[in-house]
Amino acid sequence: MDTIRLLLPLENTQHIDVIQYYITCAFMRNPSFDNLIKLSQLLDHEISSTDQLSAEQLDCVRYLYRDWGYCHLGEKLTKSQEKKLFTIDGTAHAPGHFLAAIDFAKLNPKDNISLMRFGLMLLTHSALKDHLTLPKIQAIEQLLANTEQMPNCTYHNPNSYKKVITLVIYNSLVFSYSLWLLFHTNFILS
Amino acid sequence: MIILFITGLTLISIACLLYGFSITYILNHILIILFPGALIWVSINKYTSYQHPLRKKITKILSAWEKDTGKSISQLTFILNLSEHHIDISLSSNLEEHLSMKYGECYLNGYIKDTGEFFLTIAHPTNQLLDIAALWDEVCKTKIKFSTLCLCCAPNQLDSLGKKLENEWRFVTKVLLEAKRVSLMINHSILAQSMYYLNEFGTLPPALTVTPTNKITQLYHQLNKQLDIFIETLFSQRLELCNVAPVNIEQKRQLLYLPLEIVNLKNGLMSAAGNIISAGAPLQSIVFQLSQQSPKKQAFDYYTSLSRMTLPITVLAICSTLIYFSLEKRIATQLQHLTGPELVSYLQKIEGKNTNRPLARKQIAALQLSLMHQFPHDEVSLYRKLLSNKNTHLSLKIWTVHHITNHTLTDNQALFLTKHWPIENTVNLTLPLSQIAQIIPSEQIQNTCQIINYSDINSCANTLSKIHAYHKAEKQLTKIEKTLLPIYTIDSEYAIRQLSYLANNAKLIGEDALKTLSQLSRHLDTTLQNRANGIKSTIDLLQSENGQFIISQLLKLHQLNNVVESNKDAHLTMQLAYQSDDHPLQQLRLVTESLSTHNKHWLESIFAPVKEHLSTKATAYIHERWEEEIANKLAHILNQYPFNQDSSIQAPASDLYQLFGNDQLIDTFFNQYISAFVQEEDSLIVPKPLNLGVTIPKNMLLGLMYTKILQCAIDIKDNHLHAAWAVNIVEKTHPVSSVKLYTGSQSVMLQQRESQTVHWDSRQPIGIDISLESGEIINVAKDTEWGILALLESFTKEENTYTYHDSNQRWHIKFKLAPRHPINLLSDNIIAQIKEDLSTR
Repeated sequence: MDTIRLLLPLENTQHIDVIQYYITCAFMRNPSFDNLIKLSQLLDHEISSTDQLSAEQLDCVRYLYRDWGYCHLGEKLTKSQEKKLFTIDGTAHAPGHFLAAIDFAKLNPKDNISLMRFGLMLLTHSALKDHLTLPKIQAIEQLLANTEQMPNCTYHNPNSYKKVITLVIYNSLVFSYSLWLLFHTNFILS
Repeated sequence: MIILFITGLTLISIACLLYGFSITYILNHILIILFPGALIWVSINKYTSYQHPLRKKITKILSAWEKDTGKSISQLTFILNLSEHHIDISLSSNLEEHLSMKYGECYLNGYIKDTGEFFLTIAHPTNQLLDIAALWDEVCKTKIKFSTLCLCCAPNQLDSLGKKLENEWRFVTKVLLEAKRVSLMINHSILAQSMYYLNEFGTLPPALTVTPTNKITQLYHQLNKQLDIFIETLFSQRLELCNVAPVNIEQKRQLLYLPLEIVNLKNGLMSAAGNIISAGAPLQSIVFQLSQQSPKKQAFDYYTSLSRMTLPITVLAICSTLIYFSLEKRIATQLQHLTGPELVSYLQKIEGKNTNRPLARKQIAALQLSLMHQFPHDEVSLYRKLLSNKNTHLSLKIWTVHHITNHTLTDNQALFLTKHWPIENTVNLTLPLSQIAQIIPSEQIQNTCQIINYSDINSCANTLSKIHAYHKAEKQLTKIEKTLLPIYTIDSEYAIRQLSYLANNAKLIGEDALKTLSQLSRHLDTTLQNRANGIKSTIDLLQSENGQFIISQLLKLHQLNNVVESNKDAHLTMQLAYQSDDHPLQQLRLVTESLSTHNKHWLESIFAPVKEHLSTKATAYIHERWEEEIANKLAHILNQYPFNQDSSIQAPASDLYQLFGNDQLIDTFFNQYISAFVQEEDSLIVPKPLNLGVTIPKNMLLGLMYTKILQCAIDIKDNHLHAAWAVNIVEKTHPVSSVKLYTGSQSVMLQQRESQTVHWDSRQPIGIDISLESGEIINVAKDTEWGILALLESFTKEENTYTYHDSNQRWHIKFKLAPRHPINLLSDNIIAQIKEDLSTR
């Protein structure tokens, strides 16, 4: 499945959120190294054009995803594979700092809302032990609750009755007014 | 069907009875047989359905539920589960299973929702359609009416649903077509579980609705829009749902995948909906769970009922608006036939109703415009200035309205018009103060000056008052002048009595006028004082002997006028007036010449009405006589040759004689009707300079003049015309040897140095023989009434000489004609001039 089909109905949602959701789902459905590399590259490509995140935040997003995927992989990676995965913008990073990266996002919650929401999604579906993730999840939820209004999930009825209602009300008013006019006009004629 | 058939027959029978058709007898017998049969058939059918075990069981379940809960069953839904999976009701909240049966290989289950909705599902583990159809037949036999049919499919069946409905699922298509309301349910265990968590811990969007449409593109658009919102709603809840719902890791993942799953299902859903609609089934909603809120009770029905109301209400609105406009037009037509106070009264009535204000205002504006049209432009500027200014005193406005409506309105009506006069601040007043003073009454001068933007209000008021006083005095003087000799000049009988009295009581003349003049004298300026003096001199004149003479002559004039009844009488009277110096009109004319200018004008104004009356009637009489005696005959002659050059008819001498002959019609007319009013001056007939009003039309005077001319140019006899000319050859070229002119028996050889007299007689032919040296003789001749004119038309004319050219221009002759009459008929172009001057009647 390509990202376009997902992006179309979610055109009102931030592009980066949709991409993050897509790569998360896509990896969980096929947790392999090659897929992780492919999705990481997709992430790198998609977020390179965004101006919503600073360079530091971008690096954090990239690392978070890579390390989250790394944890999910059942297989042991070779040194070269690790290097390939964790080399971001020419800089090699060490694996295993996923939670530290989450903590980085928590340092400045107001500026890192997007980062925290991505982190929360990854934490929720993390391969790490619950006792490690649950406190972080609760903390991020708390921070998000304090810093932003959760997106409304209110469903709005797709059937637009406004036009019909307007037409009916307008014509009813015209009819009533005409009747009223007729009554008075007849009165004059009589 | 049977009921309908019988009803139809009954109606036909009633119709036949009403119209007395003989077929009634047969129809009645058919009805007598059919009606009880149909009743029995329906009763048996009903009884069988009530006794059906499935119906009994379902009825029992529903009754028990109603009894237990105290609620009533609100809706019955039939679910045709073709998804090959059992519907997991544990994932649908508030739903309880009350029926579980097996019919062959098929499963039959019944669920009741706490809201009173009953769901009956039938399913087969391997979708054996024959078994399902058999069970369906049994369900049909129960005669239970389901409000909705729900087709339950698995997600993987959606893409191929169209083909299935056309082929192996044709039975399903038939069932779908029988339903009044169809919904599509997607049955998938993981999807249902995710939807369950969504419903429990988040917000489950309501079912997707499908509004009736004939276009598949519209349907796709509708569904696409709803699915996008559906996906967006799920996406927005993805994080919270995974954390809040007490689920395991796999379920968490499924919850996360939910938006993605719906995105994957999107095309299949739209395709399936399109196929169901294309099959003709009334698809109205798509659900993912039995308990999913269906919008049909709330929004859909509301929308449908509103949609249904739209057209009739629109039609009603249009009709009522059109009726109103026609009535309004009727009122407008009615208003057009009203004028003056009736119109204003009607407008007041209309204006009182808010409804007709625009109409009333339009009519008021039209009335205001028409009122203003009767006045000159300058005067209108004053009225507009006064009425359109909001600062104008109300009494002045009312006076203005009364003035422009000639005081035909009541004060209330005038007030109404002033209230609705449009306010304008830029009316340009073009009427000078002198004229304003003549219009405005003295009591409104101050109010007027406040409005007309004069530099100084007091100065304006002062000026207007002075002008006003002047015009008032002038009017009084004019009135005195008119009533100085109080006679009713139009009615002579009345005037005779008045003049007879005045003749005996001359001293009474001007008595009151003198008193008024003495009162006025203090307020009169020089001009008016001179006029007052003139009036005094007129009074003196009337009280003198000369005045007695004037009165006596006026009395005689009115006595003469009193006996004039016809135009002929008036003509006779005016003939006498022009001819006799003793005639009162002549006497009065002579007296006026000896009077001062003022008295002259005054006296002329006294007898002018009688003079004009008599002269107008006399002139009319002359016209009548001319039209009756001359005009037609003259027009007839003028339409013939030679007066009309294009005519082929020659004006006969007898007709010419009858009209223009000596002492004939025109001469007689002149002597009888005109001679008294005209005189000869330098051979011209002109009106006498007596200024007594009789005017002779120009064409009559010209007619008389041309009669004299014709009589001088030719001898007009009762049977022929005659004229004579002296003729001699001026020039002849080789090879002409001699020229001979002949008329009738007279033949004249033309000489170069000696004139010969030629007599033209209209009864005789006229011609010319030109002898050439070769012995050849060329003859040119005319034998018509006006032969002389016709003959000379073939010659080139130059003053009195006429030239004849050979057709090859080899030779020519030139001769001269000198008239023996005072006027030359040939050379003076008389004929053409007569036609031109007398043709204008």
